[in-house]
Amino acid sequence: MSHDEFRDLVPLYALGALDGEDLARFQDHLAGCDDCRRQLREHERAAAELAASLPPVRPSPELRARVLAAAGAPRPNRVMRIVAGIAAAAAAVLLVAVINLRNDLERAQEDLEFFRTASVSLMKPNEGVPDSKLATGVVWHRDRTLVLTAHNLPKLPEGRVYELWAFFDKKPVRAGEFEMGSDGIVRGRHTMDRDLAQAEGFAISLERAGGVDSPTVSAIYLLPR
Amino acid sequence: MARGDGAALGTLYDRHAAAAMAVAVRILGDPAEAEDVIQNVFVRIWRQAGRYDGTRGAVAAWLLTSVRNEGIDRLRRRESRLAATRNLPASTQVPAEAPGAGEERKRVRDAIAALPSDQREAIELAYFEGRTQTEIAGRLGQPLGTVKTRIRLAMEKIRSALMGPPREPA
Repeated sequence: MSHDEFRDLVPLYALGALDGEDLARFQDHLAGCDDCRRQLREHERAAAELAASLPPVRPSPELRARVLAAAGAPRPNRVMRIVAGIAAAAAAVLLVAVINLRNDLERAQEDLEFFRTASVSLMKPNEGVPDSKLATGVVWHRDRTLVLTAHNLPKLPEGRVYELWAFFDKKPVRAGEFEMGSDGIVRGRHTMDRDLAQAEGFAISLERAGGVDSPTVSAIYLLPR
Repeated sequence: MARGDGAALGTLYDRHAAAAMAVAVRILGDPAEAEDVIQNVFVRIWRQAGRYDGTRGAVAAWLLTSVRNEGIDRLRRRESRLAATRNLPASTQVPAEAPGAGEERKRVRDAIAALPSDQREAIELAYFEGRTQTEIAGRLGQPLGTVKTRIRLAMEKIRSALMGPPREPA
């Protein structure tokens, strides 16, 4: 298939409509094609416009309270609503900072307990892949929760993530998508739907965000040690 | 501070709930199930908000894309169909910008409204019903190539409208 033919598949991929042979071949091509990735970003925006173009539908009045309760946030009283209305723009920005802070505190406490009791699994560079030589990674896990820290991985291209894979019965199972922090370290937490005590090891590959069911062999940077 | 939290989530909800509900109802048909989706997505966004910047357009796109993907997931579970060989844009995958405002908004809406019905039908089957190209071809009784062309033409028109007049094809 030529580049132009692949480029014709970009809009279908952005809508989630590719299947079969087309899907497999397109994903392979996309991994190495900057032009198609750029086009994909534009078509993903176009797809989001389909959602945004629908006429609004008002949910039932009870849903608002349900959402606030489920999020664990107290129901704001009338004064707070007025304050929120006046400060709406500031609140949207503050929201992010406040959540970060709250999460940091909660996580610090949870992490202490987690790391005290977790098992450790180390990863080693996959020497078949360029740029992997200095990479290191470690996974702490307990029950269904894991925490990953990986150093010296290449910088992530736009729209890509590091996918962690847990091996069960020698088969890779998706174990979370991770991004690189501004400090160059890939780290994060993920919860799986199975007991990680059964995992034989972990690997990391560079993938399109959310796009794959098995690791792209040519992009596996870390393997189980 | 905790009260401020609640107010901020409320503000987010007040601003985007009706647009999100439109997408969920369009996909699922059932308002009760649609509201479950809305609830899940808002709570998830609330918990993960630190990962994204708080600008209005980015949050809206993230939210609508999340609602769409969770809606399609439910639709598939409801229909007990296997999704092994298709690609579903992940809920973490968010268009970097938009949906846009003002002039751009109008241009895009006009472009979507002006799509020929056969093209519109094809992209709606994909986006709002989660059908793959092969399923769409079967449903419409059209050759696969025809379906691909319709989807491509429709998406190119919307994209051109988004990118602005200078790049609009003649």
